[in-house]
Amino acid sequence: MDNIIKIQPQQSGFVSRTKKQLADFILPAGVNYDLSRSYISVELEPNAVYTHAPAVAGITPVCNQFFTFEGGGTAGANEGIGNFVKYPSNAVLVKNASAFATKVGKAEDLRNVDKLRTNLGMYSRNQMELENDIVDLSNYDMNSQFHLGAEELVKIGNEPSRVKPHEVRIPLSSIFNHAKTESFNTNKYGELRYHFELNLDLLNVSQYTTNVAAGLLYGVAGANYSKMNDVTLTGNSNKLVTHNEYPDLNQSPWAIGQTVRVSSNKAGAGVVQNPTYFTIINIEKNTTAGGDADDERLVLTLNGNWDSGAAAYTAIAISDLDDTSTNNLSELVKNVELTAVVNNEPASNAPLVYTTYLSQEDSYPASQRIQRNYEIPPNCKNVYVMFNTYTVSRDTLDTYRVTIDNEEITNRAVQINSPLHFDLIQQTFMNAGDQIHAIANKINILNTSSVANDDASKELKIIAFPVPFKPVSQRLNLELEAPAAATLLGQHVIFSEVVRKI
Amino acid sequence: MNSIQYHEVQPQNQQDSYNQFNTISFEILSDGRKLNPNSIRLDYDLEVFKTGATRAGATDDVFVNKNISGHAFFESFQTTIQSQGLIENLQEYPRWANIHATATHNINDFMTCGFQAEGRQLLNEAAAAQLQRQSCHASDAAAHYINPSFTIKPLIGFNRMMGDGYSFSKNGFIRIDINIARNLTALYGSDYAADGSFALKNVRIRYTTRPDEGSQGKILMNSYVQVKATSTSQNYNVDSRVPSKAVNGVVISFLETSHESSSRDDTYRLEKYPSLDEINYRFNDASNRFVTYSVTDLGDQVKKGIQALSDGGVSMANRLNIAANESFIVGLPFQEYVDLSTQKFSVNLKSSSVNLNTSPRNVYLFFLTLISI
Repeated sequence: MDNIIKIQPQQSGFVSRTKKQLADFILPAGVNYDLSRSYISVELEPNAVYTHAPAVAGITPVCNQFFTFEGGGTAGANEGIGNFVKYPSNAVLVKNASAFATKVGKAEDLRNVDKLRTNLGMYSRNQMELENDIVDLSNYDMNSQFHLGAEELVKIGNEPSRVKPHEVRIPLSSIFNHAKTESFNTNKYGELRYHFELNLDLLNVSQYTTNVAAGLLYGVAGANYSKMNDVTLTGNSNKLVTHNEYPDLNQSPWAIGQTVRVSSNKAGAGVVQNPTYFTIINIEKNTTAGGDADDERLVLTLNGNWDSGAAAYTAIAISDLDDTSTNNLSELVKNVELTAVVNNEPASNAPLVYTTYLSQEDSYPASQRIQRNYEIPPNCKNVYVMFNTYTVSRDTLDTYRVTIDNEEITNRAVQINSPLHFDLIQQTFMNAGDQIHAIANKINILNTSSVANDDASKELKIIAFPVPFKPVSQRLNLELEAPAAATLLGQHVIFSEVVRKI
Repeated sequence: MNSIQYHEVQPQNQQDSYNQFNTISFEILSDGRKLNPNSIRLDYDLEVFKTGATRAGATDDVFVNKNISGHAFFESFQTTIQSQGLIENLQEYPRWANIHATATHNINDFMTCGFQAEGRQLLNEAAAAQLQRQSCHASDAAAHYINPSFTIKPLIGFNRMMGDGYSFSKNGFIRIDINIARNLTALYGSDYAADGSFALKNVRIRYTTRPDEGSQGKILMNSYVQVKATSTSQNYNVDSRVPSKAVNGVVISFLETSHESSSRDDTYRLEKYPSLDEINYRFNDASNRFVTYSVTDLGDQVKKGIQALSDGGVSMANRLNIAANESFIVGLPFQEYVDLSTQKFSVNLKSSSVNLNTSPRNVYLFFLTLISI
């Protein structure tokens, strides 16, 4: 079994997200660590303040909240991809990171970790792998209509939904390559110190706010989620029977603790919305209540009577609400700590060989075509070029040409998304000992309703190519060209993957 | 004498149809041959009655668990070999099949020929539709029902084995006894009445063999031992003694007790334990050190359950399914084989639910074991 050590950061008070947070962890010497299974955990909990939810004993109000990360830029702003990018790696929460072992010095010093790991992760993890990661930043089913994540929702029964702290894990191996080792012997390397500059200020909480009135089960006309069965009441009622049948409960948008409003047409007098706000306190399969028992409909029980006296009611509809007025973001982050896994096997004395990334940031006037020169450091295996100031690498790039020590790596300009472009990326991943799992080359957007996933402007664009492995510096010449009448965004980061041994 | 041979075996207790509580026994023996690992399949035709003698029609809401479909009709499997006697006794088999599917597959995986033959589907509606097929070619007004056929690969040890093939000459016959599930356990739905039923017809086992070269190498099989308990309190403890010297993990699933064998509820649903706050596992590891393992995060609880079965791959345990009260499993991978036959294994479930005494939950523990021949 694992022996684990929980390590608190040197800093305290990770309750504010208003500024970048520094976190330093010291892993004591004298232990053989399995860094490949060690991780940083960031504990998050939304603190919604509800405007309309009625107070119901034993019921926690919920409003379909989920965590977001603002690395894509504000929706509608210059980036235009919004805050709903599905990040392939939780390393997006780390801006810069360094590792220092007292006997060997600096093991790694990475800048722009969020950019590097996000863009590489979009090739190394496919959609199913992303969906599967349950201890994730936004751990809900992609492309599903009803987001989950920040709340523990209950869709059947009378057990209340609840809001619990959610642990986001950032494996050390997703940040540092040296942390892919199962045996890091601090008897040999000395005390291990990690320094992280975290992107906690970019964390946020969002809410699924679309009124379900427009939503259709399986897209079938008339199968509105909001639609309830007509009923003739002889007395007051706090129960409603859904019009849709839900043999698969995960298709249902309703949860215990949701705040709703009810509108209905009483005795043909016209549709009127009840001014009272209700909370769903129970959901059960339709057996005896409210009409047709021979179906797979759900009976929703509210905390009060929705009707206005005995009559025949038609056109009954309920809507869920964007109920929160604010979310106390200053208390979003509850805790940050490092969990180190101890390897009980005898430590290896073999030197640790790994790769790390040296980065150079460059900015230039926006133009249709640029040509730049850089130095590739010694012992470099691969070079990656990632664009713009945001996390996701995007640009108006159309073609590029790479020359190393006055020798072109291809005999022609490389067109983005051409076979040659993908072949270079494939060669780079192979050279790094990694595998490509996805070549969709698209940014995974969660709220596909507002940002089309098939929008060509949401294409991920990186340049990656292997370089001849030499113990000396090499000269890199990079020519980038945008389509006619377009201009490049004017900023990129060059990551050189170099081999280290300690 | 050099090729693979295909075999088909009829039940020893041959009947026109098999109903709930019946036992079907097969004896597999092919002298001079070796059983190919993981090659046993069970074929049958299915007849479903929604009430009494009334067949389930195309518009009826009669469902089978979509994740397992064809596996849902078999309550337990017992495997005996002539040289050693009973080697495994798989109780609560359909629940195990559901856990196995949930932890090791994504619903997209079901769109393959192998799983379609087992009847596994993406949606409950699709799984229901295959139970109640009707012919559309009849010229009269009567309903003409078609019995759907299934071929499943039961998750018994001989289908989860590695190493050499099983030599019938060295070890003798293999006997497989199958207990049929109860009517109200296998199927459910608003149109499935309390006297609804099903029948299995043309049941047979198929397997493949290869020539026996005269020696028997080591055979290792994955299996499980199941323990069931009922939780009625916020702080509930399950102590188990597991008759196995090689256990490498435990997977736990839950079901509201009132949903067991109810015509309206899926008995095999992997329901969520209400307001689960913390799970504590306590046992001695392979070095006889006492281990206490506490897991508090919901995602971590589920992830460890999935890891116990499969460290890689994708699963169906996403938050959407968990909120819908399906595909929730917890558990712990031991990362080594532990002898639990001489010690107690304790699981403590802490919940903040106030409803457990009025709505108790069945707790199913599946200990993952290794059988060697």
